[in-house]
Amino acid sequence: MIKIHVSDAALISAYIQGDDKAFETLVKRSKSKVFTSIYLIVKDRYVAEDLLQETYIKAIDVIKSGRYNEEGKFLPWVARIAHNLAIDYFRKEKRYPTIVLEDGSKVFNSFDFAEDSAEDLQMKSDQIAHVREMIKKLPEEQGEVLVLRHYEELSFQEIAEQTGVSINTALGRMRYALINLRKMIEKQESAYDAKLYPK
Amino acid sequence: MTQNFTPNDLIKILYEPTTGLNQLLNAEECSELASFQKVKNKLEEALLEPSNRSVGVILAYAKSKSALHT
Repeated sequence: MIKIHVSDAALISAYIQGDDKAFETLVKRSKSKVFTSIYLIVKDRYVAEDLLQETYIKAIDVIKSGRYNEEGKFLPWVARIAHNLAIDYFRKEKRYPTIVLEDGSKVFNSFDFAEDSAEDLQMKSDQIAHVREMIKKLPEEQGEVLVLRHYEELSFQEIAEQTGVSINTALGRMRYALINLRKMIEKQESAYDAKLYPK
Repeated sequence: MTQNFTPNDLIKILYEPTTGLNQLLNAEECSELASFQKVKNKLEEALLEPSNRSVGVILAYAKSKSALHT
């Protein structure tokens, strides 16, 4: 069977014409990267779920009202909406600080998502969760460029414009982010080996 | 032919490759690029999936908007 790759622009046109499946494909293509980038900013899975819904609802409203005029890919555009919502959330959080319990859970989450919290704890124990934890440990400027380039798929040129630095600075921050992650991964792997094969 | 690449050039090649450029890399640069690629792969593995419930809400909204416009 031959798989044909339909461009994002064609899918958006199809959705404007009333093809719901076209939008479903766009969501499938972009959801994990958008979700991960939100999560890495707000650092809370439940808030990230809410912001993800808000992001796509905003995107749908823009597309359906005929105001969508992006020529590039869908992902960087929708990720930009997500990024702004996540930053807005952060600003509001500063004004209304969340009450955090001794175990690290938040007051509201402990009631609404008690069942999922156990799942979340389980998830934190796997290797994939470690990588996310490593990203969170990066200096803010490096983490920002990494999220913008890797998960939101902005070009280095776009990152430079958005963050007000030169392309070379954006590239340098990305390089240091990767070098720092590489060190953390190597450290984690050697610790894992030492545990498996004690001397 | 030899070409001098700066450390930042390797990052550009990793994320925004230009056809044929990585064939000009020397052994040391190739090894550095490969180690960055390994980290890039790890980042890809760390992708988080949203819940089906959230995706369901989004798709239902997309459908409702279509129904309104047709």
